[in-house]
Amino acid sequence: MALPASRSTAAPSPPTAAEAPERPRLARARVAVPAGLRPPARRWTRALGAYAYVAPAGLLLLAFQVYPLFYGGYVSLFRWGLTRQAFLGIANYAQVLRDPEFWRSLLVTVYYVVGVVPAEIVLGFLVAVLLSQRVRGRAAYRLVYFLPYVTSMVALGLVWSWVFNANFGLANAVLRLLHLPPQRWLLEPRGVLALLRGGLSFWAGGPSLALVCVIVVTVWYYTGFHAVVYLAALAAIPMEIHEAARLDGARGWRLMRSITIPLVSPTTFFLAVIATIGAFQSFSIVYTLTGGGAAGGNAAEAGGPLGTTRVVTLFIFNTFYGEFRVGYAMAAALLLFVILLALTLLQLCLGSRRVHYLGGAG
Amino acid sequence: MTRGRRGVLLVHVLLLAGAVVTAFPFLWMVSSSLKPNVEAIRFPPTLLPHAWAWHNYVHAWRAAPFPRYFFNSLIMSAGVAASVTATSALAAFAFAFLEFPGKGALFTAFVATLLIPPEITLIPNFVVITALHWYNTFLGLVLPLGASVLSIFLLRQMFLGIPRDLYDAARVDGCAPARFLRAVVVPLAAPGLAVVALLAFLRSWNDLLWPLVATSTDSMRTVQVGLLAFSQNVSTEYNLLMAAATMVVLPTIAAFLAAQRHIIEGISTTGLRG
Repeated sequence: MALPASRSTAAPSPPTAAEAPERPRLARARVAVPAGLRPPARRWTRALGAYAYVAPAGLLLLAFQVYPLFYGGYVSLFRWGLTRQAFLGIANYAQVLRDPEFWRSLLVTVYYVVGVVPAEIVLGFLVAVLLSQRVRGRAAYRLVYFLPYVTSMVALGLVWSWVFNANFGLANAVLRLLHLPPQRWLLEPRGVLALLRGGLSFWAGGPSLALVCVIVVTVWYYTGFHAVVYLAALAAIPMEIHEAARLDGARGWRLMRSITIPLVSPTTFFLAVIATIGAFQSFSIVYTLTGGGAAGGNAAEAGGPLGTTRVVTLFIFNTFYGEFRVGYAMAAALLLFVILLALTLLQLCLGSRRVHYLGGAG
Repeated sequence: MTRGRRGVLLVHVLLLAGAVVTAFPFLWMVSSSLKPNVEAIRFPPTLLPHAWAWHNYVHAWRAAPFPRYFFNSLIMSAGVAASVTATSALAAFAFAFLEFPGKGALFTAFVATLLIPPEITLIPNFVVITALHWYNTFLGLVLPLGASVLSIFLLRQMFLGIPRDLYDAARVDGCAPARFLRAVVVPLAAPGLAVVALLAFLRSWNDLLWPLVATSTDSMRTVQVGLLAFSQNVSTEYNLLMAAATMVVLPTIAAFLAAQRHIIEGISTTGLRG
């Protein structure tokens, strides 16, 4: 890697104070550089040097993050298989918006997000509060809770899909020990409400049991991450505030509700935004749990049973990689992006009004 | 904050219960990987293997081209880690120490790319990689993941902690920025650079989507894609599947345990979410 030696080519002159960027004015006055001698040219070489530092990262981002956004927009206007075919204009978008599969995958995604985000946040907060107590072995606990987050979703997804295996899985073994009827878990397309009450139609049944399993695994996976972020926020609350509140007679739940929860609300807000975006984009965990071999399905059927776990990223992936309707998948992806952007902006608007910042520091 | 002995006990009980729930799938994975097949699918299941079937690991290792998968993942992750660390350190250095026109706007532009979600870039990147004949190559695997704004952000924060006077003094003494970066910044920020490298390594080792899309042959598959493919071929030999999963997970857990304090700090300050 050729590091740009920003100025070495520009001036063989001895290093004067005029080259120190932070105090040029003061130094220039003292050394009295003749007016108009090189500074503009030197400023440009220096700037070019600085750009050379930013360039590697900048070019990669430009090529693989920014350009795809526009190129994707271009692709979405065509019938595009392996290569570009007929120009369709906005027909792809119109067709996606009329596609019942797309709307269904959005509904599944909404179930998934609503199931995942609040649970992750509440559990993460609880774990963080427990971890912030002065008990022995905190470091070890923190380590264990964080473990899933650094581990492969595929490997863990396969473990869980075996736990939920309808024939040999641990989940059914536990049910049998409790003399409860075994379930089909990840293969069960019927809604959980329908399972509980019976007789409900397909759509009134709520998310399928399979989707609930996926939600449980997702929450299990991310809780430690949320706890660790909360832990940092809890540690940042000044002790004096707690002391003062306790002197005023606040205890237990009241202390939690009036002091701790409001003071970590910026973190809650941050996590809510991050978790919502993350849940909308979940792919690997759903794909592994519902398409991996251990669940009895295969990759082409990822999103089963009966499409009840086909979240929108899976819908996009299937149309893109399974059916190779690249332009169509791209249009769906961009629509998802717009939905997500709108949702995030909405969250930012709603959230900023409810968040309490401590001393303006955030 | 603790309230007497019973409070402490309650905290311990709750923490322990949560830790068991969190750790159980890991233990179950390892335990199952060591059971003979008959025992693995027996009811009621055994917690620990009665007969320890260590050869499961040998069988799994040979049942699919795992050596190749591991090699591919190693090259890919090392490549991504090297690229991310180098490009992030350079950019972060410029943003922290150098003055140039448009610096603020450029930094904002960098951060703004975080808004572009992976499902947008996936398809165009695939089309581009294919057009460049980088499909099924390490170049195609590594380059799209080769820069990370969050890493730049993290390193910039770290570099800003280095006293500005140090830089000014070095410049007055005739030290070029490149040399300052090499001789002062890199040694001072070595732990931060290590965390950035390790996080990038973990992220690409665990990545499924991009290698799934950017490769198609057995000789280019990474461990995640390979493991998933293996899971579709093993039918009911879950003990072998769990052995393979354990092997795939082992390097990341080892790396995490070695540097867990730094990793947890790095993640909790940037809010990386995989």
